[in-house]
Amino acid sequence: MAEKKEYLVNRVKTTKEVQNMMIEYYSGLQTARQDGKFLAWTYGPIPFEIMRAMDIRFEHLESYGAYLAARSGQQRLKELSEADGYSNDVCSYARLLRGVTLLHERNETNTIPNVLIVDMPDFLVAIRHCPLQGSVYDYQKRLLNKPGFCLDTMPIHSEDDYQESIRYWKRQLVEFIVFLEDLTKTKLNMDRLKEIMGYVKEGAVIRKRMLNLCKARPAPINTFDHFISLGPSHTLRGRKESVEFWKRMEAEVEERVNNKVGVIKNERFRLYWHNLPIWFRVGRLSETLAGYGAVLVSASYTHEGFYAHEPEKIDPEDPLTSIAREESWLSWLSSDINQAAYLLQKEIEDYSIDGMIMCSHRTCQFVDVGEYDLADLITRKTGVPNVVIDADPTDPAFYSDAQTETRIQAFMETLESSKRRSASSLQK
Amino acid sequence: MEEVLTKFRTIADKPYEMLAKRKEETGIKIVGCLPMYVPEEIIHAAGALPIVLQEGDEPITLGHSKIQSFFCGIVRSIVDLALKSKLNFLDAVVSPEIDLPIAGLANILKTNMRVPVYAIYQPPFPQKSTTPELLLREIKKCKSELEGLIGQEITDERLGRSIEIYNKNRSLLRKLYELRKKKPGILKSVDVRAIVMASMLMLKEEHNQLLEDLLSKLKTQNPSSKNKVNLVLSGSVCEAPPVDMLNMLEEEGAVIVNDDMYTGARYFCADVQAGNGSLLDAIVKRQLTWPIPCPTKIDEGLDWGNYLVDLASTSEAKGVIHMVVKYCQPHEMYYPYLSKKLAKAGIPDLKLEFEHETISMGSTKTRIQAFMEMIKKR
Repeated sequence: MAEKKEYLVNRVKTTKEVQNMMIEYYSGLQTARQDGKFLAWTYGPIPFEIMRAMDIRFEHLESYGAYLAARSGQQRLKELSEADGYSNDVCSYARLLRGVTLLHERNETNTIPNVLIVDMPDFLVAIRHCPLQGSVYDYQKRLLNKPGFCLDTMPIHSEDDYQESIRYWKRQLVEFIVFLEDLTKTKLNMDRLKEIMGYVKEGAVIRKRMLNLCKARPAPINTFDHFISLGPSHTLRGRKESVEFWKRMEAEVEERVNNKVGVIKNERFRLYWHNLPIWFRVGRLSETLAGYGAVLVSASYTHEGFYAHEPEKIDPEDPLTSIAREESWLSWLSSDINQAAYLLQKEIEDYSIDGMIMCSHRTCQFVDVGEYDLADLITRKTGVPNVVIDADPTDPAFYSDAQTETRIQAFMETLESSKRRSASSLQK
Repeated sequence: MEEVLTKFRTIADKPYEMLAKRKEETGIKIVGCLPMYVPEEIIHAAGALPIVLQEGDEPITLGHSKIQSFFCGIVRSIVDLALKSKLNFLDAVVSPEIDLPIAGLANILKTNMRVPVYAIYQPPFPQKSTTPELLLREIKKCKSELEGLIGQEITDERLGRSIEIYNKNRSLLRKLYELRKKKPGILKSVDVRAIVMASMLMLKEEHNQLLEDLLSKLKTQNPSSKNKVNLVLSGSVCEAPPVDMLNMLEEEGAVIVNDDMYTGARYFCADVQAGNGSLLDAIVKRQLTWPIPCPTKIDEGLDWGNYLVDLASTSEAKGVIHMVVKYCQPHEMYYPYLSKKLAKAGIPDLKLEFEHETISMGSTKTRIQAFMEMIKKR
């Protein structure tokens, strides 16, 4: 009998529920046609609330890429898109999606496992949060000859821009709703949207409380666990079931805090992860770090998006303003280095962070540009060291285990020696 | 004619040295515009010299510490030049924030240079009802920032005059392109590149004079393009195509008859049409009715593939070369679509990729030769 593998990371058990939730979600996409529902392909931080309120089913480019990558389902799709002329410098999420359309075009959907296939869409929706999401949308729309709607985000450099952005967003959301209503010949039920927004708020408030629990020592949960349990605050948000999930997860994490149970034994270093996760290496990296007594206690991806910013201010009675605020906030973070630096510095203080892992994603220029400046700025201000890891969200061709693990090893030595230095200066 | 061409070539070859010298000699305020689409007329009307920042020709060294190697050459090169203090002659930078590397570049310059960086966000949706108002707000904001910096109010009179000068420049450049289409080979493509680049780097009044002089001299020229293959160049988004590559195409028997490149037709294709509304409204309208499709925009009224098919046929070109800047994801994203559209129309195409550090000229040559052979046999 094979020996059961011992893991160093004591994962939060509730997160295991997410897998089935996601499988159910994807199977809902596969049966959209037979259930008489519209199916949209979406790109960017979409206001899913509105689509959910109209009972539209939606695939989401980035989640789907992560879903494929975590299940090693990307290879065939990559090959197809590259054979079609896509350079491998192009956003790896976009290449996977092109691969799926090619599978459909060639009637080869049976060449990858069925759970990994999404059906072709009735229409497309995008947010030009990353400009490339706009290009993917436009390109796909032309290629598939489907209707679509693309929402815009303006860069934000000041409070004045932020307020303008909220107005801009609200005007666009009204147009978006008209587009959906025309297309589906169904009127948006505002009461339903308010109800959904209520669940979004409830879930986000609980999630935020739970993120804060990681300020405890030892850390009760690894941020890697948050990476893999984003579904209920992302494509599955605004549902009662998702709120229930967050309640169960919070209870488990809270119990750990009360009993001083850490997610790893002998916690020595508390780390911050900047940028998107490496979806195909979440488990391995989590274990590698745990081997050094290191735990991720915060990350830009999980702690800044998905309504993590001021969730208590979500107003279910005014869903459009609440959505506009969230979208504008995301835009501010990605367009203004000072805002990003301010928040990162705050995370470092709040979560007692010892080091930062800056992940540089080869085909995701959106999240990479300015990363070196941000790292320098924070290290200069706080003395907290950083290490840059070269990777890609979904394409293993741009990632090397050996190289990454060597860098992590060296980084851990740096952290170790700075710990020794500060211990000896305390003794003096 | 050589004399006037040399003037264009000189500034295009060493733009930053020339501009730093000019600044030192005249004290003129110089505002660097990041590519593409900054409405330069506003800067000109404030009494400053707007220039479009170009990729430098030196290897990137210091820049590596601020930006990853997988960004396009122009972005990395400008970061590098800024860190090497080669852009210290600039009084300000204006970013059109058209796509992320450019917006990110503006952020990097803001953090690492001691000059103000102003942004004009250009919503890439010409058809959206929300776009004109936001674009107008952005242009007004930048206008008032420039007025503060330069200490010169941008009156309607000044702006109207600048618009006239700019429209004239664009019209002269279009005449030059018409001439090249009618008389293929009348100018080498590297000279056309230098002429357009010079327009991006000189006061337009001066450029207009040189252009008029050149156009009058070209009238009498009748080049022979016998046995040459007419081609259209497409792409080269934001940055200029490499000189070596252009020369190589011509050495292998091609003659370039048209393009949709930024250092080309894209730069001068759209005039500001002053109408009944304000001049700023007219600028907004121009930004939203740019006739050449762009991969950084989502323009439902245009299709780049169809545009290329038309461009090739109206220019009597036998093929299209996609000039792809390595790591330019917006362009890369559309390339398969463009290629398919051209194939459907029976127009041969070839993708040539280039980056700041190295271009494998050997393999590029082989590919160009094979492409030319293939066209000649058709």
